[in-house]
Parts: sequence; structure tokens; C-alpha cells
Amino acid sequence: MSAEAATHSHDHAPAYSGAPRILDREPLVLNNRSYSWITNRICGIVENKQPLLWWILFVPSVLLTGLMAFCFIYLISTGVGVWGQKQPVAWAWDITNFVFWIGIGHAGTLISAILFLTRQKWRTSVNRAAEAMTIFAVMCAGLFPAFHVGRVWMVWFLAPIPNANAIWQNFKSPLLWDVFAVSTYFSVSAVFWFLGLVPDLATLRDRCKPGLRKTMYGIFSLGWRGANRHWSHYETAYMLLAALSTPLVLSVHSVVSFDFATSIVPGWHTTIFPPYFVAGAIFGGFAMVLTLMIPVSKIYGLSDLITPKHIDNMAKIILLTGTIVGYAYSMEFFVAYYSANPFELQTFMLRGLYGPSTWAYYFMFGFNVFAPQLFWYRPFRHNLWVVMLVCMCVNAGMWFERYVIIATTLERHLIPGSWRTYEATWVDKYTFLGTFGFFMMLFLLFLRFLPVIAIGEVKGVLPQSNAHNHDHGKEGVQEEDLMAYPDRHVPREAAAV
Amino acid sequence: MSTLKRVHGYLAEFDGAADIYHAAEQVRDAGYQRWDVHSPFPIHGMDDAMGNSRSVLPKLVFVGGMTGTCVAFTLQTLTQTNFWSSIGLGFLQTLAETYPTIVQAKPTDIWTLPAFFPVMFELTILFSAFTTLFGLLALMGLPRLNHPLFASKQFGKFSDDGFFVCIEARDPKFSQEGTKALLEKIGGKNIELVEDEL
Amino acid sequence: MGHHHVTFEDLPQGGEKFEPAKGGKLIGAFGALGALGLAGSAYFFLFTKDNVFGSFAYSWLFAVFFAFTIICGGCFWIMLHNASNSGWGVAIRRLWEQLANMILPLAILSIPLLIPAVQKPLYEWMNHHREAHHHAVEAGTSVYEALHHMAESNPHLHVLTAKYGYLNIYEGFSWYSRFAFYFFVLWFIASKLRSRSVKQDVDGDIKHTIKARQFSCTWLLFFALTVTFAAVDWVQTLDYAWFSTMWGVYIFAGCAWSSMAVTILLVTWLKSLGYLKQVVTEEHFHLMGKLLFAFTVFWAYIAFSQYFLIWYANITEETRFYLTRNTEGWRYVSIFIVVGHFVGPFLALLSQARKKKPFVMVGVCLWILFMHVVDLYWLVIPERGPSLSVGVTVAGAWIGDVVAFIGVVGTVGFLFLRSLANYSLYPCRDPRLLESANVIN
Repeated sequence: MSAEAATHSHDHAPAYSGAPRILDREPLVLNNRSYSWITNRICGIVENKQPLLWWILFVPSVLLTGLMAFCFIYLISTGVGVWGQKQPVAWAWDITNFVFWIGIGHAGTLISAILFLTRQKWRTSVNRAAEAMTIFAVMCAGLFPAFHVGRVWMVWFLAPIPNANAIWQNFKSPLLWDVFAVSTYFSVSAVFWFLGLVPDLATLRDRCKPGLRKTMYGIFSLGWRGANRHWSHYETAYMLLAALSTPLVLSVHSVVSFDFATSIVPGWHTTIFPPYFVAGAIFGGFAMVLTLMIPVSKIYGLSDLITPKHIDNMAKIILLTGTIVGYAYSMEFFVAYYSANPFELQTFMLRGLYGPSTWAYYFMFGFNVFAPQLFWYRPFRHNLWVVMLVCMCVNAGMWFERYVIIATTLERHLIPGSWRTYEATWVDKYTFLGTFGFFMMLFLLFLRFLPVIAIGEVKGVLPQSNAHNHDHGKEGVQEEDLMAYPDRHVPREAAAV
Repeated sequence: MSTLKRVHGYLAEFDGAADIYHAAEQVRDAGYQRWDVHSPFPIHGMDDAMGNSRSVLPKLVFVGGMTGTCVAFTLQTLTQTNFWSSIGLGFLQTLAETYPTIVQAKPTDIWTLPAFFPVMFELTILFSAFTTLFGLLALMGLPRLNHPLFASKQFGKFSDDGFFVCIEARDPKFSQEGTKALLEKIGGKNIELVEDEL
Repeated sequence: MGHHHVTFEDLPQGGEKFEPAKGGKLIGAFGALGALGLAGSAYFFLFTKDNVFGSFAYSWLFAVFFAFTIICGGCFWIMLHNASNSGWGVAIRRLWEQLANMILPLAILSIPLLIPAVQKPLYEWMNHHREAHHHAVEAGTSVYEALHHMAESNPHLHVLTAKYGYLNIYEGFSWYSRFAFYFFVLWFIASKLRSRSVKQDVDGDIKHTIKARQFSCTWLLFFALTVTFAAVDWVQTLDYAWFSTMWGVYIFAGCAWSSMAVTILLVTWLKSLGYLKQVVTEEHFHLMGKLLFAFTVFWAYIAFSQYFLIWYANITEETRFYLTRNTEGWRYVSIFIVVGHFVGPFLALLSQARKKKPFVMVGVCLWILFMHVVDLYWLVIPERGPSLSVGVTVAGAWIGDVVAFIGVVGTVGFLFLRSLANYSLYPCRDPRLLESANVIN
């Protein structure tokens, strides 16, 4: 817990003599950084000029966003036929991309909400960026169903507003539940994100010279002055939002899974879909958080805040959720056999053994279930290249999962006469590519204007922030020292300086 | 041109979380009511040290959430079922011009309810979240564009690494000498009389 | 802040030893009920036949499966606590370790389920397999071929030939081998984790904590598969045509939920006897209450999703499960479960202050255990009437249900409470004990 305890750790006492010893928690911020160091380091990202790399990434992102816009304009002006779906594959890349992006959008709320409720303090270093990522990913996700309706200017018909035709929405339709789930998720995530930002915006405001920036940060920080009578309500509100967001995350991806599972299509209708989709979303979301945060940490020198311990924890969550996803894949296969339903079994045989798109199934299984198993081995969790590689696999694997579920299931319908193998068109491909540009552009702008790490929250988890810090002195030892891991990153002796 | 000034209160800085925690206990015990602690992050246990009661926000949010559930229930049953007619409130359905039909092989009576759960759930959460946000702002009295404390040069440190106690002049126990003496006694530094320009 | 910071100086050397005499009343009650129930069960097993015997087979399965879920829950909580490198629950972990180790007595109590006479009224598919085996011996063919042959005159049996690779009692990794495997896995996990923890009581070596974490991570997968397939083999196959991919998760949710309720009751009881005073505080009650709340919601989520998808898609093979349970008298039980299993506990556990009051929590937890009984009853028993061809319910069968329930729960409860005396009530040299004792959330 404390630095003092850490320095004493290498004198190994005999196994048991007198007082038992204590297993300390690893520090959440390395090198005993002070409050003002944290403020300076994080605000510096916003206040200083961006590194060249930022521009190298930003310019192509804007260009890709333009490509996306072009594809959508082309789609509207020509018709949905420019996409590759034809009967029987009426849903393909559009819904795949929708589910892919909305899945990525789940890690933000997971880190913010579930880890908050379970008092996982390490979340503070990554929650802000994850929440931002959530919002941008949900924006990317929303584009696809909106444009898939065809006449996008009629999209307001999705909202239950009394209209001249006296037509109400069909509330028994999973697609309408999606509208409510995704828009609620976007709204609540945005509220959660904004509320978390308020104290940090005040920090930026207080550091600015008078001018436009100070005015803008001033307006958005709402006149925050860190008063405890405010913190008291604020913490309650934050806890409430976390408690609301947790079932919300589960519900959103469950509702997305209902799009498929309420049908009677073999391969889509199975009762495990809701938790299986949720686990998959968390899995893919965490992979994307790491994909973004490892480079951010390296480029902006944040490795004292995003420590090997943080990456280790996230790698473990990826391992766990990847294995849960593997459990779900296996249960689906088992029940396809056990149900003795020939159509169900046929669907899975076509997916996995002899269909036209088995390659997609192998990518899915290999990337999502086997690749994360590398994380059983600690040195792999501590090697950033391996972590990045696995995360890239997971990002791709989760896209393939949705592709397998959606397109390859429809390719082989019940009647062989209507079979058709799906092929994506260039519009499908460039639209999807374009959303990556849009996502990256938003994320880079976020890095440029807002604090990437929750400054106030990180300060709150430092040992000196505890008004009742009980130092147990020489009794404590850290696992790192006890186990003498070969790949240990930060020598304790150096850390104590 | 002379500006009128009004005393807002005394501001004193403290060294850290543990320090200001003990200071707060002493200000509380001295019987002050209109005062506050300003810190870069929430300090665990400070509500007890200041003698604050628990926030009423959860109760507001519960009411907000229930409102959401009821709105969703009414919206869906009104437009998709004959439930309101069956309990003698058919005029509501006439009013909203609804034509309940059997779709997805689901009946038009109340037992089609499970199909309405997703939207009921989402609106419960949505209404709760907005109640949380606006309830919070109302309870905090924010947003506001300015505050007398921002007149203090040193106060800006609160959002970096400063820990402050501010005892307001509105407090009945406030006195220029007595309050300053208390702040000095409990270890306050850089004690400053904050004045608000009128 | 009223909290006193606990250090090792405050705690007795070697932990706290439980004296059964102190809790004599409760232990005695469990023992007496268990003995009574076992005697009654022996009567039912040995001296009744036909429908009374058949109906009691269901009672016994229900009672054994109830105890099984709670023991699995205990096992799950240790593994989760270890695997997530948590500290808060160290002070109550020993109770879970003892609970999980009740798997051995339960294995003995589950032996009747291996007897063909008991299986006959329970598992219709086994009867067909036994008949096929009989034909196979006579005709000198394989069981599978004989089953296939039977299906020609009885088309319902085609399903059994399609499932033969999993659902069989003669070949490969059969129902019997899996039965043994489930108990072996649970026993292995429970005994390994307890022996490590107890060793640490003696030598205080921190490495036990790290090893236990690694062990828990590795074995979680086996645990998940064990709970899933035990649930499939023992309960889902009561109707061999029905299936649901969510089944294992549904049972697991009930395991974790009910065993947390048992934990809260147990801790309250031990504290009322004067134990655990230093190491378990109101914060633990708050934490356990939150987990109970979380699993109330999780169970509802899983139960709703399973029901909802089957109801919405309306496919004949799947709806049969809910048709049995959503018609006649069982409909009221179904609605009661929605209200009593979810709405009631949800509202009761919403308030933070209530979660910190042990005596309020005792009421809530007793209710939760009652609802878990109702839930499992509702899973197992509705199959009884149709299987025995006597209509929806079997008259007077409730007597057998009560006898089996008190027999199994009384015996396991008695042995469990007695076993608490074997070691310290908490891992007294765990390197995270103080973190747990001083936990603030």
C-alpha cells in the first residue's frame, strides 16, 4: 500500500515467526507521483502542442470519414441495392457492423459502472477513455440501422410521436426495442461521461488564461468548486448512474441479441444468446480499450498511470470473457446436437465443417477463444506486443462472430433452392472502413480537447488521499517481490525513490 | 470609481486529506453551519466529519424511474392492446387513435406484456438517469457562472492539489476575529478574507 | 468514523474455534429433523411401491438437487473470491470452504439416484435404453441399433437415437460416468482449496494465497461445465425432448443466489453466538447484501430471457417446458415465482440501510431460501404427474417431498454445522485477513 512498506519488502522473513505477514496491493500509480504531477501530466496533453503522430493519424481519419460520408450519400442517392445483400441474405454487413460497434461500446460502461460498483479502483486510469470510446462507438453503430431503413429522412418514424397517419410503432418488435435500448444507452453513457468530466473540466478551467478556452471550459464545468457538500451529492449521483448503467449494459446487448433470438431461424434462436452477446461485447470492448490505451500511454508518457498491473487486469478480463464466449459457442454446438433438430445441427455443421464460409467460423473461434488463452501465461500479459496482437485478433474475431451469426446463417436457408453465398460490395467495405476513420477522428479530437484520464478520480485512489491511512510498516509484502517474477517491470528500489 | 465589497468568508488552506479531515471535525464541533471543504477529489468519510446527512437523490431517482416504467407501460398497452378498454377506460384508446392488432402471433390482451418489458426497462433507466442528472444539478445549485470564491487568487489550487476550508460570513457564529482564530488554531494556512465585488 | 482499525494484536492466536455446544439448539434441530427425514425416506424407499415410490423418487431428486445447488454456490464463491484476487471476504471464506466440502456427504445421499428402480419413474429415456439393451442382448446387436429398431414402431424414439452420443447409460462417457465425474470435480476443488487454506493457518505462508488463486482460475472452467451438465443430466433430461442453451446458466444463478443467503444467515448466527465479532463488520453485511441483490437481478435476467425467447418464438419442442408449468395449478406457482423470487427481494434489498441490518437480512434471506426451494420444486416436480400418468399433481405426494427435504437438508445441515468446529472459523493467518476485517466500501 505505501511506499515505505514496499522498500522493506525484499528482506524475506522466515515463513512464520510471530506476527503473520500481509499481502499488499500493488500501487495504482507508480513512482509515488504527487497530485500536481498528475494534474500537469494529464492537462499537458490538452494544453501542449500535439505530437506529429497525432497529425499523422488525424489527417487520414478525416479522409476516411469523408469516404464514409461519400458511401452513405451514394447509398441514399442510388438505393440500398448498392449493398451486397440479396435474398435470402437480407441482413449482412450493415447489421454485422452495427452489432460490432455497439459491442465495442460496452466496455466503457463496464469499466465505469461495474468496476465502480465492485470497487475496482484500477478503473480510474482507463475509465474516461473507455467512456469516450463508448460514445463514439455507439455513434458509429447508430449509422448502420439508420441508413438501412432506406429513406433515412423518415428515420423519425422510429420514435413514438403521434402523427397524421395515426400509425403507432409495433412495440412487440425487437427492432423497436433496439431503438429504445440504443438511444437510452447513448443518452445515459453521455450523461455518465459528462458528469465524470465536470471536476476535470474545472481543473482545465483553473489552469487556463482568460480567453475563449477558459470560457468554454468554464461553461461546461458548471461553476464547479470542489465543495464537499457538492461532492456528497455528486458521489451519490455517480453511484446511482453506475447502478443504472450496469443493468443497462446487459439489457442493450440482450436486446440486440433478441433481434436474432426471438426469430425461429436455426442458428439464431437459442436461449443463451442474451448473456452470450453481453459477454462477447465486454470481451470485444476491452480489447478495443487496450488497443487504444496502450499507444496513448506510450505516446503521452502515461505509464505511471496506466501501469503493467492495469494491462494485466484487462488481459485477464479478456481471458475470462473469451472463455465465456467459448463456453457459449460450445453450448450452442452441444444443444444443436442434443436438440435432435436436424436443421439446427445442419446450420452448425455448415458454419463449422462444410459450409461456404467455414473460414469465417475458424477466424471467429481462433481469434476469440484460442488467441486469448495466451494470457494464461504471465509474461505474455506483460509484453505489450503480445497484448496488442491478441487484442487485434479479438477485434477482428468479434467482427467475424457477428458475420458468422448473421450472414453465414442466412446463406444456407431451409430450402436448398434459395441458397446463395453472400458477397460484400465495395460500398459495404468502404463504408465500414470509413466508420473506423470516423471513430478515430472523434477519439483524436477527444485527446486534443478533454482530459484522457480522470484526474480527480486518480488522485482519489492515491494512498495519501485516504484520511485514515493505516501504515502497517514492515509486515507488508507485495506479490511482485514475493514471487520474483522474471518479467517484473518496475524495480521496487527505484519506485521508492 | 470605487467598488463596494461584501465579505464572503474566510478561506484557509490545509496540507492534505488527513489534515483537512481533522480540521473539518473541529469546525463542525465549533458549531458552524455555513461552511464547506473544497478538495480536488471527494475525501472518504468527510460527510461524517462535517456532519452532513445523506443525499436525498436516491429517493428522487426512485420516483423518476417509476415514472418511466409507468410511461412505457401506458404507451405500449394503450397503443397495442385492449387492456384499457377492458378496465373501462376505452376513451383513452379512442383519444390516442389506436388499432390493436395481432402481430407476431401475440394476443391483444394484457398477457402480451412480456413483449413490452424491454421498452419498460429502457425507459425506467432513461428517466432515472435524467432524474439523477437534473436532480443533482438542482441539489448542488449548479450550474452557475460565477461564485465569490473565484475572486480568491489561491482558490484555483483546489482543482489541483489544494485543500481548503471556507467559513462563510452568513454563518451566525461568524466573526472576523473568532473565525480567523479558529482556523489558525486548527492548522489553517494562507488564511484569507474573501470579498465579493458588488 | 466509528471503526476501530483491527490489527493482528486484536485477534486471538490460531483464530476462533467453534464449539458445537454453543449452537446446540440449531445443530440439534437439524440433526433431529435429518434423522427423522432419513428414517421416513428409508420407509418410502424400502416399503412403498408403484406411484408412491415413484412419486418419492421425484421428492428425493428435488431434495438432493436443492442441497447440490447450495453446495455448488459455496464452491463458486470461494473460487470467485480467489480468482478475482479479492480481499473483502477472507473473514467468511472458511464458511464457504466448509459448505463446499459438504459435497462428500451429498454424494452419499445421491446414491439412490443411481438405482434403476428409482430412475424408472424419473428418467423415461433410461427405460427406453434399458429396453433397447434387453433387445440388444437377445438379438446380439448394439444398443444403438436396437434403439433404432424400436424407433421404427415408436417414432418418438428417433429423438433418442439422435441424442445417443450424449444421452446413454451403456457406452462412452455415459450418464453414470458423468455422475461420478461431477462429484469428483466438486470434491477435488473443495478439498484442495480447503486444505491449502488450512495449511496456511499453520504455516502462514503467503504463497498459499497465490497458489489458491491460480488453482481457482484454472478450475473455474471445470466448475462451470460441471454445474451445467449436472443440471442437464439430472433435471433437464426429466423430459428428454426438451432443451435450452441457457439451462446451465439458470441453475448457476440460483446456486450463487441461495448460497449467499445461507452465508448471511450463517454469519448472523455465528455472530449472535459471539463469534467473528472482530473480523466481520456491518460492511460485510452490506457487501454480501449487494451481491445478493446482484444475483437477484442476474437470476431474473436469465429467467426472463429464457422464458421470453421460448414464449416469443413459440416452437413446439421448446414450449412444452413452459406449457407444463404455465397451465393448471402450476400457473399460480409461476406467477408467485416472478413476484417472490424477483420483485420482493429486489425491493427489499434496494435500500442500503436495510442491507446493513443483520436482523432484517435474516428475514430476507429466509425468504430467499424459501423461494429457491419453490424454484427448484417448480423445475422438478411438474414432471411428476404426467410421468406417472396420474394427472397434474399426485395426491398426498407432498408428504414425501417434506420427508425427503428434511432428510437431506437436515442431514447435510447437521454435518455442515458440526464441521465448523474442525478448523478456525476464519483463515487466521491469511495475508488479506486484516484487509477483510477493515474493509470499507
